[in-house]
Amino acid sequence: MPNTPLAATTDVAVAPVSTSSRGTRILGALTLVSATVTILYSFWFSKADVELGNTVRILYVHVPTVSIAYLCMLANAVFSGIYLWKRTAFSDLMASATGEIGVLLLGLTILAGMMWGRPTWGTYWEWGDPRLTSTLLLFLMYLGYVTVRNIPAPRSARNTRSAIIGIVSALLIYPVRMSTEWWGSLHQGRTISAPGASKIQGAQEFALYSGFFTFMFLAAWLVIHRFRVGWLADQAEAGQLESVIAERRAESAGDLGLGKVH
Amino acid sequence: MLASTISNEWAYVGITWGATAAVIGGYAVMVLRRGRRLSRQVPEDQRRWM
Repeated sequence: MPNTPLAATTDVAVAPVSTSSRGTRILGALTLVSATVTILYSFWFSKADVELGNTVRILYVHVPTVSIAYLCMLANAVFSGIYLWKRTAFSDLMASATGEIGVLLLGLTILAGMMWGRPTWGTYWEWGDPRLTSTLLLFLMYLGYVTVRNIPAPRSARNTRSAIIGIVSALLIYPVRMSTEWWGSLHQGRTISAPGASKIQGAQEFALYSGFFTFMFLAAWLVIHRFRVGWLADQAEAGQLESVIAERRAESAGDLGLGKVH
Repeated sequence: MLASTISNEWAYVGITWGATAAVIGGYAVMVLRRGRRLSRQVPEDQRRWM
């Protein structure tokens, strides 16, 4: 049987025209399954709390988003440190991706907290509260991180500046976490990692832990895609630069008559 | 009074869950679209994901 060009090319894997891969599709499916379980437990199996009423369902978003936001920010600090040490594109792009997802999740945490505060405390926001104010400061610092990454600048300078901001911002995570114990706060203390038994149990506890897994899978899925977008953007920029240099060289050669055949 | 409190609570619950889904969904769509657009500009050998 003749070896046709079609037969010869079927064995070659074609690179996708997207940031998807088998791994991200599996992770995406896992996220959807976990999200379905979380929604079922948050709205169906978990009943209204004796003290908090239906507002307890806000906590199934609020607590997991802040925990995963902290994780993303810590990862951002680690990759920023690796970047300053090794200067690799991988560490810079991972820092960028985790920083962006972290600020997104922290923004949602603040929004959920405000929605919980209004029916529970009678106010959306309390400026004198250390937990609320320090969380807002943390959010603004990471917003600054994302802004610095988007300001046009030489790549090396941009990466170094953002890495330093990432590391400095991460120093605020522990004081924010401990603010309710150090300074006292309108905000309640730790619910599930407090010394002694957990304050929640049964379907409520399951809904909360399911939320952790959902947002963890989701954050991992988003970080991988965001990393690949950053990688593609760098490659596209390098490709454009190369083609501009090649054009200029061709123009110079043409001006000097080097391209003519005599 | 009780009915009013319960419906009020559900409004805050709805805004929280709705905004979370909308923000995350919107961000995911934006990232995926940008990835598709950039993929067309980059040679095939530089976008072979594991």
